[in-house]
Parts: sequence; C-alpha cells; structure tokens
Amino acid sequence: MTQTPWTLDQFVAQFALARDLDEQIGVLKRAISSFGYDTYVFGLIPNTQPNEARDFIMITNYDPDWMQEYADRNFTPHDNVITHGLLRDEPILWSRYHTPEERELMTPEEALVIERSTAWGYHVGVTIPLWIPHSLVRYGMSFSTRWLMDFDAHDAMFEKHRHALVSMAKLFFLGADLSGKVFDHYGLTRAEQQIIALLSNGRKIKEITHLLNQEQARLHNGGDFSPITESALHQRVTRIWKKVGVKNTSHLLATMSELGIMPDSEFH
Amino acid sequence: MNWSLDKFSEQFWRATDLDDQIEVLLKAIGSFGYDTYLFGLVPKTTASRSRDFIMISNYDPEWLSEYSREEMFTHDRTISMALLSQDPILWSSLRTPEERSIMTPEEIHVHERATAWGYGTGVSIPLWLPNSTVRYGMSFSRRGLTDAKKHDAMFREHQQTLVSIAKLFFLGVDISGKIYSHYKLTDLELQIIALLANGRKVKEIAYALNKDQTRNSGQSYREPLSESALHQRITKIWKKVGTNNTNHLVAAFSQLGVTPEVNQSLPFVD
Repeated sequence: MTQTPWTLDQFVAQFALARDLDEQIGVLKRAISSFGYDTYVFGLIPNTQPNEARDFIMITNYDPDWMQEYADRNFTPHDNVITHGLLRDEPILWSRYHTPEERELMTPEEALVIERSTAWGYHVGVTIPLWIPHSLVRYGMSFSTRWLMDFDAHDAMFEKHRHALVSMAKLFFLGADLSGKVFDHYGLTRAEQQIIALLSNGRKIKEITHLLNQEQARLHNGGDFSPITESALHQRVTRIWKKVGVKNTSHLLATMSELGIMPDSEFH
Repeated sequence: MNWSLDKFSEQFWRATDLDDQIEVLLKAIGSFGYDTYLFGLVPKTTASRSRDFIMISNYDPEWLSEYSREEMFTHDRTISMALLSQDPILWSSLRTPEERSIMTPEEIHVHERATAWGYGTGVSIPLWLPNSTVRYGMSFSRRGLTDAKKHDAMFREHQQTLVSIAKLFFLGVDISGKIYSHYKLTDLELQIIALLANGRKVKEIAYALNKDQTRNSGQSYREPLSESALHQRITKIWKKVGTNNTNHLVAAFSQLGVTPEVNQSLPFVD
C-alpha cells in the first residue's frame, strides 16, 4: 500500500460530488484503491425465493472475459460467496475458501468456481453482504486485489480497516442509483420503461394505448404517424414479461418495486 | 472537536446493543453541539387509517406524551416533508413566510408547541430505502437553541458527515423490540405472528403451543388454547397492529423487516 487509506469523510465528500452512477463508481474505485484493492463487484440478486431461477445483476470491473465465462458456465448458483452472502450479514473473507476444511464441504461445482476465479487472479478479497431486512432482494459488495496482496496481508489489512470498508460499502449502497443498470440487464428500452411506468400507475391497456398515441401525435406535431393498436400494446407487454422473466403484469410490477426501480411515471 | 465519520463508524460497529448504539450516536452528535435525536419510521400499514409513527428519541417525555396524545405526527410538517423528499429539512425553513403560507393551522400548532418545548432549531434527515414503502428519518436538535442561523451554517458545513452518521445508524440499528412494544405485543403474540408468517395453520399452532405448555409446565402456566380462542387471539393481534387480516398482518411485519423468529423447539408434527 503506497497511499494513505481514505477516511470515510473523504469518501462521502467525494461521493456527494458525483453526478451519476459512473462518477459514483469512480469515487468508489479511488477510495478502495487507497486500501490496496483494484477490483469491486456490487451485485444484487432480485429473487431469493427458492425454486426460482436466480438472476444476478452486477456492476463490476472484473475482466469481461471472466464475466463471460462466469455467465456461460452458469456459476451463480454454485458461487459460495453468493450463497453464504445470502445467509449472513458478516463480511466473508475469501481466504476461507482456500482452507482444507472448507474445501471438503464444497460440491465439485463450487470447487470449480473457486478454482476458476483463482486462475483469473480473483481470489484475495472480501464480500460484504448488504441487507435490507424486509427485502427479498439481496445485495452485496466485494473488494478484491489481483496479485497485489496475499491472503495474510489482505486479511490483516481488512481487519484493521474493517469498519471503514464496511461503512463505505453501505454508504455506496444507499447512495447509488442502479435503475439504469437494472433496465440494461433486462434489456428494457425507453419505450418499455415508459409502459411499465404507466402500468404501475394503474393505467389500463386501453388508456395506455391512447396516451402513447397522443404523445406520438404531439411529437409529430400534427404530421403523419402510425398509431399503435391495443393488441400491439398487449404483445409489447407480453414481451416485457418475457424479458424480465415474470408471468403477468402484477408479477412484473412486484419485481420492479422489489428492486426499488419503478421507472419515472407518466410523461414529462 | 467534531467527530470524524471514521470515529463514529468505528465506535458504532463496536456497540453491542441498541442502548450502546444510541450512546455512540449521542456522543457523535454531541460533538456537533446537538443533544437531542429522534429516529422514527412511518409504517404506512393502511391508507385509510391515520398513519402510525414509531420512534426512539431522548425528547422530554412530557413533550412526547403531548405529541402522541394529540396525534401530532399527522400534522408534523417535518414528517410530511420527509415522506416527499430526501433532502435534509432545516427546521428554520418552517418559519419562513412562504412555508407558513402553505402550512395548515394544525401544522403551525405542532411547530409552535415543539418550539415552546425548546425544540425549535434543528434538522430532519429523511432516510429512504429504495424498495420500501416504510419511510425512516432522523432528527438532530439542541434543546433551547435559538440561533438558527448559526446552527444552519454549522449543519451545512458538516452536512455530509451528519447525514452519513444518520445513514450508518439507520443501516446498523435493530429496533424490532421498540416496534413490538409500540404495538404492545406479548411474547405469545409474537410467537403466533412468527408461526403465521411461516405459513402454519391455526390448528397446528394451537396444537404446538399447547404441547409446548404441557412440556414446560411449572413456570408461568397458561390455560390450553382452543382453536377458537386462538382465532380470537389472532383477531386481537390484527387490531393491535391495525391490520384487517392475517396476510395484511404478516405483510406489515415483513415490510418493517421485523418478522419475529420462530421458536425452533416448538413440537410440530411434520
């Protein structure tokens, strides 16, 4: 560590100046690098109900190729850090996954995740679970260091600065606006976000069709445009369900509100 | 000497219970000249019923009893503002002519009574969780302080630190006990809520509670609960919490994040 670790006051002062998520992430990266970290993952799992496919939305500066491998090989359900993070709220030092006792408890799939992340150089670090008590959504922040520290050096550093790093993760969590990332994750277009907003205000398909056509007419300033029909809107809504992986509109709205990212309502 | 956020964070995470945590909070805000805090939440359980307000604070108990007796929270301007915006609310802003012109007589009354009790200068910090209908907030003030200009300048200078102290307190505090006592729920009632939240049927609950009673007979003996008595008991719980049915009750506790834990030793036949 060549730098003096940031104080929390330094962090919140810089964080308050950030104007959007990218700048907030920039502040986070500079703050954690003063502790010797170079990699972060801020992730959330929208649905922790058993029996449902587990989605995992994250922002991170991991190597994109590693992310690709992680997604392609469906590592999420076998990622011990995630499974453990869902169950407890104490920080999890990654070094524990490299002890013989812990190795013995792992399934072959779990061991593979650890092996592959180690091969990519992401094995020295910590995961800080971030819980909202009443929420089904689980959040977490990981900090790691690629080849800069060994387990002992890292764990000693973390213990020393534990309170500051945990507080930093919590303050980032309360202050970060993830809505854009969540929409991107589900591949929702602006128009689809607007439809969700209108549905969440209790608007009926008929009304929404009318409102959208009215808006189109306004934008075209009296010129020609092809109006959307109710059945076409129905199809678009069904496509939104599929994108988000829900079965109907109330399920869609419940999922969005669980994620805390109801899109802006109505028209501006 | 104003506390740094690191000093607060370090001491706060070391605190082992709510009383310790409050003590750390008071020391921290004391270093900024405050002596009074209020941490409150509005559960919004029903729309029709008057809103509930649960809080912990070190306000003068007599002021608090006047406040709750007259249900002042329904006309507390700082609360209604905190429900709408995440920006800190300097109490001095409630005295400006513009603000006065839009306040109702009841709202002005609450503000004037608070000022009469010496709580006229301070700040309220809304604390929002993105996906929750529950709204939280923290107020800091100093009793008897009248120099609002000086206070407001101090707050603006240290706003980031004070807001972050409020946020860390908010994320670290467990006020489930306060919520249970707010609704005047007994241990038995909490256990019933826990079991209902776990999807147990009334019949199963009555059986397990009675079996448990016989097993531990001797201490605090209770008459066996018939199913119909248990039904009555549950209706009483709905009323205490201000909900209309069991689903609503369970939802209210899960929204508050304070669903009680199931006593794992209860003898269920599975």
